[in-house]
Amino acid sequence: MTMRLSKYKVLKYFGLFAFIAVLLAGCTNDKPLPSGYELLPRENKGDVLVKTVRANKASTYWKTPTAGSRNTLLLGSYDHVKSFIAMRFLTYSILDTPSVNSAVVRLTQNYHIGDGDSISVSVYPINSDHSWVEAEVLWKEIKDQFIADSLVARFKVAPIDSGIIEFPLDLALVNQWVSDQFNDGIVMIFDNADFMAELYSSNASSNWAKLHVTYTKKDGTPDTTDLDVLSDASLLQFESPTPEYQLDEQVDKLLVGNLTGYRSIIDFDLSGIPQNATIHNVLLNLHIDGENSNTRSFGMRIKATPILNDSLAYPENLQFATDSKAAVDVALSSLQQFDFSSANAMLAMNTIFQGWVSGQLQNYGLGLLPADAGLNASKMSFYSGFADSSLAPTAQITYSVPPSGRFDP
Amino acid sequence: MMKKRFNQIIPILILFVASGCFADSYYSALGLGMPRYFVSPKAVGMGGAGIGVVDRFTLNAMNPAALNIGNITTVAVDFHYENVENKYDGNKITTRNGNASGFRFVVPLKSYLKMIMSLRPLSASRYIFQKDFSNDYVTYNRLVRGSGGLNAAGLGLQYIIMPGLAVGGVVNFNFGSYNEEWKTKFSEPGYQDSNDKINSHLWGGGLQLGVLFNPIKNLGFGVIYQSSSNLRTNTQTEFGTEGMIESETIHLSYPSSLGAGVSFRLSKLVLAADFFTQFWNKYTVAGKDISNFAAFKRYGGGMEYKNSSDPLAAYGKKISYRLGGYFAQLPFRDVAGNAIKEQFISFGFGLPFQGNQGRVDAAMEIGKRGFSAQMNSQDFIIRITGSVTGGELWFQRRHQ
Repeated sequence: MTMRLSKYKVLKYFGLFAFIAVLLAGCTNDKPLPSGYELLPRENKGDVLVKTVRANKASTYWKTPTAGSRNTLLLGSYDHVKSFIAMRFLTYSILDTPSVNSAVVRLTQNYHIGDGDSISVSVYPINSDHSWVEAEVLWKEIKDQFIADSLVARFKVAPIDSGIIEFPLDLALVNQWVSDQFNDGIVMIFDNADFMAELYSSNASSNWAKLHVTYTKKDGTPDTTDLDVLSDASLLQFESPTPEYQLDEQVDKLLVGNLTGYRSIIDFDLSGIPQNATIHNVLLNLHIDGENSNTRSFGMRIKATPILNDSLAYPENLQFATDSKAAVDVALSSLQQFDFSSANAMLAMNTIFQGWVSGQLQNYGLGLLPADAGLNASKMSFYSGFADSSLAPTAQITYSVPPSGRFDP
Repeated sequence: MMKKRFNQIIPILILFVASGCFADSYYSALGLGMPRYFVSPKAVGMGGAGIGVVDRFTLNAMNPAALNIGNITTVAVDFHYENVENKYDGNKITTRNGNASGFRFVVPLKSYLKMIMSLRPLSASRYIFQKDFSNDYVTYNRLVRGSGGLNAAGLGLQYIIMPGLAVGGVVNFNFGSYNEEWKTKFSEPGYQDSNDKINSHLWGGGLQLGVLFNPIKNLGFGVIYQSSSNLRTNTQTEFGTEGMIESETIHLSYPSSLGAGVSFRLSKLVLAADFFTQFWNKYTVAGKDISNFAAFKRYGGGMEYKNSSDPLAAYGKKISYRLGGYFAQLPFRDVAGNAIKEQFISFGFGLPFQGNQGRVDAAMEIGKRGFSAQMNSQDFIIRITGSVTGGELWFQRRHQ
């Protein structure tokens, strides 16, 4: 009897064990079947389609670039653009007493564009009651805020691609900075220039400007030190025949310039793409007008960014998406065409077009902006297609619409 | 002692959610998927034949009249495992899937009236397709993954009109979900992959009726009818990369079905045969006929051998051995319009435990599906079905 009960128990638990084991053993494996995709009876399988859309509007305008955040300082004149420099040194935290015996500004030049005689540069102090912000400062803000009858230095800039520029700075000014524990710096201006020199700014990784001073400490011992630049900026002035923010519509050339601040706007009619489409890829292509383009070997970064408000009538009020949502790629003036073809640029462009197609982003057009405005003299000119539609910018859009469900009637 | 045994089964039962448990098949991507024909694990071993079979430890899922639990509250829980070798043009792949597949719970209210609760799969769907594409610009891969199924949660009664004649009815709440995912993956950088998800939830009512008639002691006839079910279907489509969702509600008709079975007991042998048909040719989606569907027809037959039903007999003599086979025409057609067919042989056994107060049943089916030349696609299938059935006295007055 004992034996029989034991056997029953074993059988019972064997059954339960086997059952639970199969349940829990993860006995499922998923692999694609060797066929069936083609035969799957779905009216629409969401095939990937490619559609090329031409830009149907083009316009351009210019806006003076703020250049304080760039790693260059531009001094000189080129392509109808003059550039002065504003500079402020970090004096008050290093020097403990206004006993500067000598002060020499040292600038490092690394490039020039254009040619001509050396530029004679005059240096004036900026009013001590005017505080300027490196990332925002423009010439129009400084031009009435420096002391024009107080020349504190002079120096010359030669049309060379590398070199050190040194000039002494007025000692009274430097000592004033130390005693005030505050300074609004200097502005470097000129009357005439035939070329533009490129200097290292405080945003560069090295070779930024220094103020070399010798001074006497409070304890009477002499010392020397190099004072760093607190802030510096190029002050660009575009002498354009058209006013700033004047929108030129139906232009044949789409201009984008680092010096001039030219930017352009194009527009695509996406009504041919279904609203529920998934945008897989957008390749924006522009034909380059080589005659009016000029970049160095490393090219010019162009930023394509969606316009966020309906303000074409007032371009100064145009709002663009933040840089994180913009597509950026490098254009070379030596080429015939420019594509936003880097992986990151295409992914950003996908997001922009996806927003437009699905309606999450109003399609007010796409701005083509200089990504590094104020950095150098690079400029690009693209055909708008106004004169020759075959040269119009195109967006090659790869998309798919969702497949039909198994219960779609 | 009995309470303790029953309490071991109940937690497992609670864990159960009916599932189709079919391994992958192209055909399951069609309509509502592969129809699930399941009478009982005992019937599975006998080629699925069981509409006319009555047995103490067989809780008949198809025929609510074919129950013989006496005054013992009885529960059965099932599991299901399937291994499918899919073959197409010389390429083959093996998929497998196993899971719990339902339960049945029968409570005697009176000697002539039993209450039935059940959860069972009606159809199942499971597949993955993959294909590489290329155009002038880019190469990409598309993958379609689908799964889901329709289940029936039932509440019903068996009424014994007189010895040898019983009727049963179950009101079913049919429910289920079907999920399909379409992935597009590009080989080039800068291309946005996408994943469209289409999820459908279905629900609706249905009625299941059965009759069991024993004109003589050893002969049984069973007839069943299942009403069609108007399934309200809500489909949500989640688009690619933006997470946008579209929602749509339509109605589907889960078709009605008819079946009949006969059983004959010869001493230690039980012979059974069934015919079942479901009118998938009347399957409609949003009121439109799906014209390329055929009626599901199934012919099954088998036998069971058990040496002794005596609880005191040696254990080996109480084991049941089963053998059978079936042939079915599925609702789906090949490209030439021919209905897809499948044929199986089956065998199984039943192991009683604790005297004759419970039974573990297991069955294996081996067969193939879709063997028409036009389709050139075949599924070779091994299917294992298991069940644990046990009972105990509930709601009974103690005799002094």
